[in-house]
Amino acid sequence: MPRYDRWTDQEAGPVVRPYALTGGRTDPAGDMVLDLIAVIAAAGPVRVASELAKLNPEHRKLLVLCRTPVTVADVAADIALPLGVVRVLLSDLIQQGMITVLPRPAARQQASTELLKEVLDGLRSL
Amino acid sequence: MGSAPSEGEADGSLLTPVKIVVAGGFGVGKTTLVSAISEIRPLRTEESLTQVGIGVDDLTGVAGKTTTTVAMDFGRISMGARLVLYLFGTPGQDRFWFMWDDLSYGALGAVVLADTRRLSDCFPSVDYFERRQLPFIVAVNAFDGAPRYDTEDVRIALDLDPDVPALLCDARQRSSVKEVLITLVQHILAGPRDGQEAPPEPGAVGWSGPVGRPTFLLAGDPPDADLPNGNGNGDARDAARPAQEASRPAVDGS
Repeated sequence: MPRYDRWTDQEAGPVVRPYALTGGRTDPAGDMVLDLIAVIAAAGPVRVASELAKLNPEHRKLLVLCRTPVTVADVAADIALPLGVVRVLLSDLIQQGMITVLPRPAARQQASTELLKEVLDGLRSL
Repeated sequence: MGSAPSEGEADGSLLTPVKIVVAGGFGVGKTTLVSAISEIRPLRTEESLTQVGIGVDDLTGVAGKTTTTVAMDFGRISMGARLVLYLFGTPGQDRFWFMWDDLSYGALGAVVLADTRRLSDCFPSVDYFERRQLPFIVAVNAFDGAPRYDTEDVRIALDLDPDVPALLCDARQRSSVKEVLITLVQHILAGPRDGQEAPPEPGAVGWSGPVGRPTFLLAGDPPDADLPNGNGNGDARDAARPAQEASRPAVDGS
């Protein structure tokens, strides 16, 4: 692990607190909490430069990561930011219509027998 | 494998993630189990850091940070083109109970990993999933040198419902973990799913719904603040832990 500053070590953690990236906000916009395995994807056509310029670098990174449908957990792992921060940033992009949450057939309802059998088959063939 | 087309499958590219929770006490082998069968990915969460820290600490306040960062791993198993199984291990320490609702939301079911040397460590997990009515099984991790118990003894010690499977496993062995997961999915398939009431969370298309605060509790919140089944749920944290343990038979006769 590289140490960038002789005054801090790994024990101190990041010098910039992670929620600085969200302007201190800890609740997602619209008071919505994204499920860990909610599937999200960048919405619509490629954005114009002026629109992208308004976004901070983390927002832009998230947009890139969401080019193809992906789960919130995978995005959070990819961008290596805390989940709470990722949720807030994603909620911004969702509110701006840049990212959509895809409907998930097996979301809240009990998983269908069919889906469970598919998981079972998948496990057996591992 | 040969599943009939249904809603959501019209588009073959539609990503279908499913989730299984792996719970159990601290150091019981949850991460070992997850990494034995899946590509593991690190997930960082800092919920408690900021929520507790609002208005209290500033950028210079780095003291005490080690208690506020929660590193969590999850496993990912791709099954065919669209189905992906995620394995989420719960943080083992009591102070991270606030994350359990988040992890369990929308899960197919759970594996409670048990260590016979510290069987009481998994009582809270068993209680949690029973209360939440999330199907679960108990997998006893066969540590080297740990006393070997019949799964029937473990079942009695944990006061498991007769229909809850309990099996021995070796969390390091891929084949053993595979068997554990298969047992869980078979158990879910055998159980009553239709008409069973879903946990009372608002939810649609991946949102866990509008909430004043996130659905998880903070370490400093009073018990029962917003866990779904509020009947004494706050006892999940250390306060009432001894009471829970007392209510179950001791496993080693001590």
